[in-house]
Amino acid sequence: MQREAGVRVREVISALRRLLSALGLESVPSADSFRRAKFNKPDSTEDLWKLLHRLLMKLFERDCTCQPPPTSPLDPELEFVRSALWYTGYGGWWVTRAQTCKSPGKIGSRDLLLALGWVMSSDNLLETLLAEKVQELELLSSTPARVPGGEDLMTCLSVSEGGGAEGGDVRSLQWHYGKLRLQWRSLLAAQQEQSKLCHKIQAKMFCSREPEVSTADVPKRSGSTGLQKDLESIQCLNRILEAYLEWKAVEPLFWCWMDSVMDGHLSDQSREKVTDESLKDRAVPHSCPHEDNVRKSFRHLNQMLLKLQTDLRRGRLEQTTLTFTAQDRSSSSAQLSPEQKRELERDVAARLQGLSLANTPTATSRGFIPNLQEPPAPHSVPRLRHGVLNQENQENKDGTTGRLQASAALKELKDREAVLLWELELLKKSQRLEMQAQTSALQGLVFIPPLKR
Amino acid sequence: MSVVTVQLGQCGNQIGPELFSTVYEDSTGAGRKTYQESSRERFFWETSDGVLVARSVLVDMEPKVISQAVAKASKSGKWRYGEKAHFCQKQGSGNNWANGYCVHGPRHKESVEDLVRREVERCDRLAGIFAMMSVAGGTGSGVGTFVTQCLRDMYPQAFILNHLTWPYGTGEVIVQNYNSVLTLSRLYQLSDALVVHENDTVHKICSRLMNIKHISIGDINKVIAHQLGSVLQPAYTGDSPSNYSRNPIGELLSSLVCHPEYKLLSLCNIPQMSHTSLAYSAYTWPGLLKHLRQMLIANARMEEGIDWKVCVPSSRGDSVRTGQMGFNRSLANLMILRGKDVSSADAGAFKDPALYVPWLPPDGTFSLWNSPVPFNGYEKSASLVSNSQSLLKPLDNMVRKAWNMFVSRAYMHQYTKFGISEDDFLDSFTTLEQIISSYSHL
Repeated sequence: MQREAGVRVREVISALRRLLSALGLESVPSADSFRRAKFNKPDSTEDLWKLLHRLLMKLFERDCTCQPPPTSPLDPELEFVRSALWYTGYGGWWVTRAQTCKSPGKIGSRDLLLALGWVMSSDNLLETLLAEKVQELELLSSTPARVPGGEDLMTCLSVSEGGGAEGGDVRSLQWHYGKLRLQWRSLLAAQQEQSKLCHKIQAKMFCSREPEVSTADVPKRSGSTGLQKDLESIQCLNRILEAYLEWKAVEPLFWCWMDSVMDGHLSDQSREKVTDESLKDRAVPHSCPHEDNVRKSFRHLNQMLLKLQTDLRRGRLEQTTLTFTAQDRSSSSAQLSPEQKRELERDVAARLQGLSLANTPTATSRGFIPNLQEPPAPHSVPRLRHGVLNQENQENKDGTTGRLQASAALKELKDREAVLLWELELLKKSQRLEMQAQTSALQGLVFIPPLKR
Repeated sequence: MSVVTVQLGQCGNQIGPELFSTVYEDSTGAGRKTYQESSRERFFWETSDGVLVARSVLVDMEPKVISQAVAKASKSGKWRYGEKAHFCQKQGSGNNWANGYCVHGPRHKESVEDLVRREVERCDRLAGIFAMMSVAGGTGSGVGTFVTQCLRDMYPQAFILNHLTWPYGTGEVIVQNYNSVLTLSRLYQLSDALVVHENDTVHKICSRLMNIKHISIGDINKVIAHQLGSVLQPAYTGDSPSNYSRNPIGELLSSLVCHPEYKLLSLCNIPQMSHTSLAYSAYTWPGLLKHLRQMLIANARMEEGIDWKVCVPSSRGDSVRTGQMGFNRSLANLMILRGKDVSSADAGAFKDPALYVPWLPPDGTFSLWNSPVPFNGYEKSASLVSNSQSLLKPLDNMVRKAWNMFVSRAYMHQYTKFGISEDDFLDSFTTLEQIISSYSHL
């Protein structure tokens, strides 16, 4: 199995190599170099360094017209690669901290491989190179000799100015534009013809069972050098496109392999972390997908732990409540008459409801814990139970901290308002009763209650 | 490199076989191997048993003309039409453009498209689509316009060249001007260029130059086929001076019709005569070109009866004054010379900037093609494809007559019942008035 995977990786990397060399990169390192780089072997550093340098050179070819100042003490090649990687957003240790690495030789081959993977994945590098190459090869060599150039336009403009004809310049520009469009269509037709003929030639060759397709097989016709050239470029183009297709088919495997490289890198890193704390910021940037995965699983484990702890606590609390209930029942229930009992129960229930309504912890009153752990009065069991439930609620809510929908808040606030109004009404009532009692005690005073609105 | 011909309606299906015969006969002969190869590739394909088949699609709503064309071609024993390259129905379009365009065209769209597609796929390179039709009738004009529209949709980048036969001024069909107006206005948007033959002028050529007493449709078609052949047969062009051009229609268009407002091309040819007198005639290139030039500026379609008094105005001011004098101003011209000593011919007189509009660069207005192979039995032959004011007058007549009928709403119900409204007519009139105005203000 392991061996089979190895073979696949070799294939995948070979496909990549073929594509890279078709795209015009010279001396792409062997598949073995890639494999050795995975294990950070120093002997493939040079190969990978060259590849990375050339690749970045190709990518930034147009931008690097300006040379670094010659007085720069650092290796210009290293400087270039570093700044190019910096530009693509790569944050490996040797890129972000230039002083720690003065020569390419100090960089591990795996670091280079990772950088290569980064460049390939982040910038559509291969597609960019492919597009450039295709554009380069698709130039038609057999274009008609006469294409109106800038001079033509200039003459037509000068003529129209000289002639002084009104609107003449617009018409002549329209004419020239039309001409260009027609010529473009001619070129399109020519291109279609070329591809059709190439296809025919290819088909003929394959029919005659010559597996080796090369331009040498094409019968040479006198005066067809242009055609020959076109044929060559089209065949070259085909090779590139084939290589790209092949690569595309195996690309997912490559990234799996890169993941394994990444794993190796991370495990080495954690080992180093234990031994040397000072090297901790050698970590790969946070945006790396692999690191993300690790962090995700950490978080998951943490959450699981928390949940288990919560469950445990809840279980313990429930157990204690049960014991309380059992004790209370046995001690005091027999001493009261049924009527008294009922009255008392009603009273307690009313008070309990009032209290619970007033003191229910809501999301709007964070941190509020109802004080229900007083020495329990007789028959206060349900109260306690309620308190426990409240506590549970509190915990559950804490689990999903800080998020409260506006509608929920509104509802809660309204409930609370109703409770408070009800309380207010109760208080008013008791106050009125008290006042009545006081006024009736005073002689010669008539109490007139305020007008109701 | 090949041209796919689409023969539409009675007229198209009559001129088509004439053209193929002319082209076939012309390319057959000793000492013209490359010319022959090139011509054959252009117009025919070869079956596995060596029979030449015209790269053509025949479309008509009546079976009669198509079966005649097919039979005539097979009887020649030299070439034939493709076995499944034609499409016809039992009932014609009744000279009603609207019937062809709104009913027959859409109904048979797919079948016709399939035929054309098959022909196009047979070409290594599609040099262009050459659609032949008349503007007067119902099928050629109505179905033809519809088919051109489909072709434009199918091949947005292909060169589409329409050959139009304009009816006799005296009239064959009562609604011919309606049909013409509707056809022209639409084709002007769809086609890359319209090559026009007027029946009247061709008729005159037959009677005066060819000395034909009882002129038949066949005679007229032969002249048209001769003129078309002289343009479409292989030639050395500006872009390919040493090989026969592989892009003839593209080059023709890019030298003549680059401006979208000017797409009308007229065609004239010199010399033309009966085959009997051909053997006793001798021409020189300077003589031929002198005549041809005067034909161009005096707007004559044949060498007889040229008004030699018309001359090129020396300045712009003159031209306005000579506007009434019959000077024919050109946008661009393409001359094709075929025959002996063709390299000795001097076309300098056609490069005179005074012949052309002032707003075009002088070197972009005139193109010259040539071929050392004599064309269709003529030792020397010169053709001129011209984008000029020459079609202004017949176009104006046509639009005026149609307008007069339209004002009294004559026969309008025949069109509205198929879905062509008065607004459609008005749009067409507007388009054509714009074309007339563009050409008259050259």
